[in-house]
Formats: sequence, C-alpha cells, structure tokens
Amino acid sequence: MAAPDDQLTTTDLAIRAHDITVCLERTTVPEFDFISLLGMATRLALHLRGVQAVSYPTIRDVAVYLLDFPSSTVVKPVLELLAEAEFVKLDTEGLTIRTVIPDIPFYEDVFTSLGNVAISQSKISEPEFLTLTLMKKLSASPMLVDHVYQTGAEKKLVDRVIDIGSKGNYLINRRARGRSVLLSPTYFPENVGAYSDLVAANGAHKVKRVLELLKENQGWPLIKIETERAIGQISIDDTEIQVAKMLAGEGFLPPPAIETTHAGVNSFLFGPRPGKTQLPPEKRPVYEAAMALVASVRQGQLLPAKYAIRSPIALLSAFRDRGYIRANTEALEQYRQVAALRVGRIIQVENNWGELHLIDLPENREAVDMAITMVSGSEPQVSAREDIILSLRQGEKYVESLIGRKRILENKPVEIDEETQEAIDTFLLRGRE
Amino acid sequence: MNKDSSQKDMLFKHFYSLGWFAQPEVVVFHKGGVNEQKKVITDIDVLALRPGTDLSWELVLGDCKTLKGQSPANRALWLRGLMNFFNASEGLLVLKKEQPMEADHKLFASSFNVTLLDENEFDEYDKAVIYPNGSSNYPLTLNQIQRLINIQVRYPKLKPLVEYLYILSWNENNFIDIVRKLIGEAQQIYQEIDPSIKEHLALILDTCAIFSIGLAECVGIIFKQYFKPSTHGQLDESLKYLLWGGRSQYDFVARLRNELIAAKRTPATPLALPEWERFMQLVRSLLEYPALAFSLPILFRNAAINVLFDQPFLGTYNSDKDLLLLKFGMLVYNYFCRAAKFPPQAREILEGEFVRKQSSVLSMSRNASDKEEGSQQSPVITNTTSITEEDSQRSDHKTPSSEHDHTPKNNIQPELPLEKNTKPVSDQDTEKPL
Repeated sequence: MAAPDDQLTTTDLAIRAHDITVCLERTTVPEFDFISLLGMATRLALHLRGVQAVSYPTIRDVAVYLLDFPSSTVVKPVLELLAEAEFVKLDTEGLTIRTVIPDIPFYEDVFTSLGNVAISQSKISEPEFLTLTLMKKLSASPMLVDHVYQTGAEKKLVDRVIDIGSKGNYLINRRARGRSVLLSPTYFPENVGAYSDLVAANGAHKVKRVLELLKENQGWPLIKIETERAIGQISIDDTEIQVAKMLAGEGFLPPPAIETTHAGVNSFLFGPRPGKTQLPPEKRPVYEAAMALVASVRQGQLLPAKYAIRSPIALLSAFRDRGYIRANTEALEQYRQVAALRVGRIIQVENNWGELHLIDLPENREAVDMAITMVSGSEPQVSAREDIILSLRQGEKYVESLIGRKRILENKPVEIDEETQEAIDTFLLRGRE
Repeated sequence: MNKDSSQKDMLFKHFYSLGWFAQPEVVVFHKGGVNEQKKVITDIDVLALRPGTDLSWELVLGDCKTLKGQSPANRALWLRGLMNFFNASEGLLVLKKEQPMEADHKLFASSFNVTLLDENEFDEYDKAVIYPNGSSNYPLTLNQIQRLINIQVRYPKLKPLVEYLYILSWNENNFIDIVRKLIGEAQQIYQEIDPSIKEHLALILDTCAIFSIGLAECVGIIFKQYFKPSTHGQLDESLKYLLWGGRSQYDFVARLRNELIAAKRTPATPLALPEWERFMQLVRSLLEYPALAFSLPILFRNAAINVLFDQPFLGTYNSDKDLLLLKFGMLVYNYFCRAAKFPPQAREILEGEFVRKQSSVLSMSRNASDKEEGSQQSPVITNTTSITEEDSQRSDHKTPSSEHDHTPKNNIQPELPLEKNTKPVSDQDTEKPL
C-alpha cells in the first residue's frame, strides 16, 4: 500500500502536469489528454496573474508562440477549463471567444483549484496516472527502475511511460553500477550521473530521506552532519551520512565552502538545485548568490567563533529591510563569498570588526528573499516567464513584439510505440477491427 | 433647491474634474454624542477625497456661503475649524459677493490652507486650474446625485443602507471601518434588492463607490506595510488586524464571537469578513497597482449614474489604459455582491456589463491599432517580410537567446503603449445603454 505522501493530491496533479507540459514543449502525446489540458491550463494561468483584459487572438498567440502550446486548437478548451475554475471571465459571441479577463488567485490556490476542476471534468488514463505518480516520486529523489516495475503496473505500460518521458525530456533512464536508475531532469537538472550512482549505491529511500532533510535545512554544514549524526534536529544513520558526504564529493557541483581561522574550511550542503520549471535559467546567478548568503548565516549560526546567530531568518530579513548587518568580529571571513558575488560590501569599522552592507540592486534583494525562503525550508514550486507577464500587463502591443520572432513553428508528435503501430497496420490490413 | 445650490454644483464639478471623489451635503455630528438621536451640528456643502501621493486619501472641504452678517475671514476660520475636525488638508470657500472681500482676508485664509473666492472669481479660477475649459461641462451634476439619494423615498426599505452611505459613513473615525460596516449594512437589506429595478442596481454601484474608499485606504496601508505580502498567512493576518482596528481589538471581538457561537453549540470559524478568501484575493490583485484603487470610487459613481439615467455603461472609459481599472471594478463589484448576499442575478447583470465594456475597449483599441499600422509607409512593410523570413529560420533552430528576445519584430512596433484612442470606432463597438 502506498504511503500517504506518495498519494497524488489535486495540487500534485496540477504541478506535475505543468512540469510535464513545460518539458514536452510542442510535443504531443496521444495518451496525455488530461495531463496536456491541465498542464497547459496551469501554465497559462501562471502567466495571466494580475493581467488586464486580453483579446482572444493575443491569448492564443501567447499560448502557441511563447508558451509552446502544440496548436491553437487547444487554447479554447484550456480557457474553458480556466473559466470553469473561475480564473477567467470570457466574453463570447456564439461559440467565439472575444475577450479573456483573467482573475487568477495569488498564492497556491491555483494548483488545487485547477486540479479539482480538471479531475471533475475528465478522467485520468492509466499511463497518465502512472506518469504523474512517477513524477511526484522523482521530484523527491531518483529511483531504481526495478522499483517502478514493482508498483503493480504492467511492464508494457511502464516501458511506454518511460519511453514517452525520455522522448519528452522529463525522464532519464541511466545505468549505474549495473542497475537502471530513473531520474527527472526537471527536478535534478545537474549531476545526473552522480545522482544515478548515489541511488544505485545507497538505495532510493536513503537518498530521498537525506535530500528531504537537506531541503528542510538548506545550507547545513557537512561537519555538523558528520559529528552530530543529524541534519537539523533529525538523526540519521551511517548510510545516510555516507549519502551526505557523497553529495559533497566528486561528481557533484562543489557545495559552497567558507574558510575561517577558527573552524577551517567547511562545506554547506543544499538540496538539489531547482529545475527549469521551478527557476528560470536567467535566475541561476540569483540562486547562487542566495546559496552563498545561506551558507554565511549557517556558518554564523552553527559554527561561530564566539557568538552564534540565533535566528537566521530574522538576520536576513533585517539585512533586506535595513540594508546592512551590524558589525561583528566574524563578518570579514563569514561574508567573504557574499562580497565576492557582489551581493554585499564588507565595511571594516575598526580592527577586525566588519559590517555587511547590501548592494541595493533588484537582483540582490531577490537573492536575499530567496535566501530567506531557503532558510525557512520552502522552495519555489513553479515559475512563470516574467517577460511574458510584463508584456501582457503592459498591453497588446508589447505582446506582439514578443511574439514577432516566433511565428513559424514545427510540431513534433511522439512516435507511437511498436504495439500501437502493429495494431494500426493490422487494422488497415484486415480492414475491420 | 437651496439658494447656494448653483455654487455647490460648481464646486462639485470642479472637484470631479480634478479626479477627486466628491460628496455633497455631508451632515456632521459628533460620534460621542449623548443625545438619543444623533444631533446634527453642521453640514459640509461638498466634501472631496483626493488620492494623496502616499497611497492614502486627503480630504478637501468645499463651502459656499451667502455671508449674511459675517466677514469672509470669520467664515474662513469656521472652515478651518471644520478642517481640523475632519483632518482635512485643504478648504475652498466660495462666497456671494454681498460685501467686499479684502485681499488681506484672502492672504489670511490661505495661510491656513483655505482658498477664499467670491462667486464671480470662481469661473476664472476654475479655468486656470482645469485649463483651458474649466469644469462647467463635466457630465456629473448635483441633481443626479440627489436622485441617487432619493431612491430611499420610493423604496423606504432601503433607507438604512442609504443613510449609512450618505450620512454615517462620512462621520466614521477612519475610512477602513467603512469596509466592514458597509457589508453589514448591505446584508441588512439584501432581501429588498430586486435586480430588475435599475434604481436598485444603481444603488449597489454607488455602494461599491463608498466601499472602494475604505478598500483603497486598506490597500494603501497593506502596500506600505508589506509591499506585496509574500504569503497567504501574512496577508490574512495583517488584513484582519487592520479591519478590526488592531490585534487586541480583533482578538477581543473574535473571543466575544466565539463565546456567542459556543453558547449555541456550533463550532466557530475564525472571525473574518464574509467571503474572506475572495476578499484576500481582491486586495492582493489591487496590490499589483495600488494607486488605481483610488480611482475606483469615481468609476463606480459614474457607473451608478449611467445605470440610473439609461446612459451607456461607463461610456467615458474608452482607453486601453482603463482596462485594468475596469477589471478592478468588476472584481470589487463581484466581491461586494457576494459578501452582501445580493441576488446572484444582480451580480451577473452588471458583471456582464463590465465584461462587455472591457471587451469593447479592447476591440476599439485593436481597431485603432490596425488602422494605425495600415497607414504606415510601404518601405516598412518590406522590412517586415524580410525579418519574418529570417525569424522563421531562427525559430527552427530554437536558440536560447531567441526565447527571451524582446526586440520588436519590425519598425512598426512602438516601444510605448498606444496614445489615447482618438480614432472613430466601428458599429459593433458602439456603446449601448443597459
């Protein structure tokens, strides 16, 4: 029996369908009616937040040219689903939609509401259900393919689902230590080989536990994990310590490290870096800066020379709101990397006392916000393209200019599997079912 | 009609032309009064609300007097006293020229933010402030507002709401209280609302106008406090405390309510406005452009007059720059009708009008834009073709850089939004009355 956290909620449905749709781009999968509709609806909704009335042709063009909807024919059902969820109001003339007036809720409601409406309107096919379940599991950790076969699904179905996922760029099936490991580049965009090896060597369950603990305690020092045999307040066993050490070792991107005279060189471990559905590529440098900030405050919190930081969140909030962190004797070493990344400037006030001053740029403020989010144990779920949202808010002319360069498109349907091909050929040969 | 009603009308139009929300004949009484019936102390001829630069309302008091047996300076001092009582920023005093007004009187009055004018000077003043035509042709009149207020005469069951709208709400200690209390007042009379009666629909719209005054103030405070609250919980908590006058007051009312509910043996839900999630989403939507919330009262009042007098619905809002304001209007209307439990049909009728209006503005804007592009010179069109061909080749390769390319596709695309639409519109876009 599946554990409760493995069960799909309506929120999961919307988030995973969105992730799959983003990876599929314009690729169409015949089996994915539900996923496509829900995924596209979620994607469009995220880009319509705070937007004024938009004409149907503009929405259609944004959907097809900028959000990679496979064709313009799917836009109408997607809008009808959004209208059913009360996320848009439609001005219609007969069957024609003239204008779309978005009213997309802020915060998380969008996933739950869309998931609920979608599930009440259409059925999830078997391949879709297996795909969504797999994606939910793979968002936490890579897993052995053998375990997918043990879920009770037919082997043919599993193979087909993995095949679609591989062609749709949201699954990777990789051999490591003589075993097949399945992972999703959507959630593990880097170090694919190293993660596969990690899972093959230690088992998915152990890796999943360590990664979950690291997501809740971002930037935890490796030395603390080893000496206290715990991440945060949660104890871990030898294998899990081994997993944590491997995450800081060869094959993985080196974690941020800080060198201090009192504690030497220390590495700070983070959960997997967000994939493209969670964080757009242009935000990577902001994320790197946030990691450096988190590592610095963890150093002050967990490995201080004398006085520990009591509340990293309060400290980072003050840094954002006040623009500086008060002078202390450890600042010069502690915030060296933050200064190197041009997020802040260290000002020496006397002898070895230093103050960290925020360099007031929007990307730096964003990095501090991101660091606060990371320290509080949450992570971005899905992201939207800011250029599209901004152009939609500014008016149709702006959207036109964004669309201008993406007029001609190419569709690439997923190749059908051998069995279906054979069935079609047989049907055509026999001329009857 | 009062003998100074033409002066009041002038002031009323003047304030509206400046983009301020004006309310005529505001009765003043003391809230802490000891009389059983509220004792009227005086009245303000025209009270105006103007959006301040710090996302809050500023009050301007307008007064028109015949000045019998009183000097202009005395009258100015009286207005200053009233301004202090209301915490108003400015006063405008228009006097009938029955006795000479000294220049020193004017200087004296202006030293405490009161502008002193005699009736004959007003026209010149008006045209200088609202250059060059002044406000005399502004479509809204005092008589129209009076018609709104008089709805209670024909429909006396609506009197409690009308009384709150045009008397009590203006004597609240702060604008935010209006949000909470107005929903309560509307819930008292919701069973009397008949969506087929245009007076009722007009009254709902004007109720939304007064509601928006409190809502805008609320949005301004939240914006200054949190900018855009990052979590649901942050907005939820701060809005509740704001609406109930602080944490201790909220906790006290919530405890009282819980005890009352517990006495009836039913589980209590947290104290909040009706349709709380919708209200939170509404506030969060307005936080995207909080300054626009301060334009909502005028939008709703115009809509109310349009409905009452069978005029085209919001016929003066035709620019694509009005689209977001119209959307905000639709969201506020939707929320208020639900919160006040008005019949669903009342919500649907005017929500449909808002939807059609936005659609029509968008269509007009597109038509104007098409005509504008059609009138461009031919060399530009040649340029478009060559760029498009090149682009199609680029899009085949799907380079990452083209994904985020903001460059306009050709020289026709402007970098700024359209100028105010002055082109004629096609028949399908013509406004129709309700």
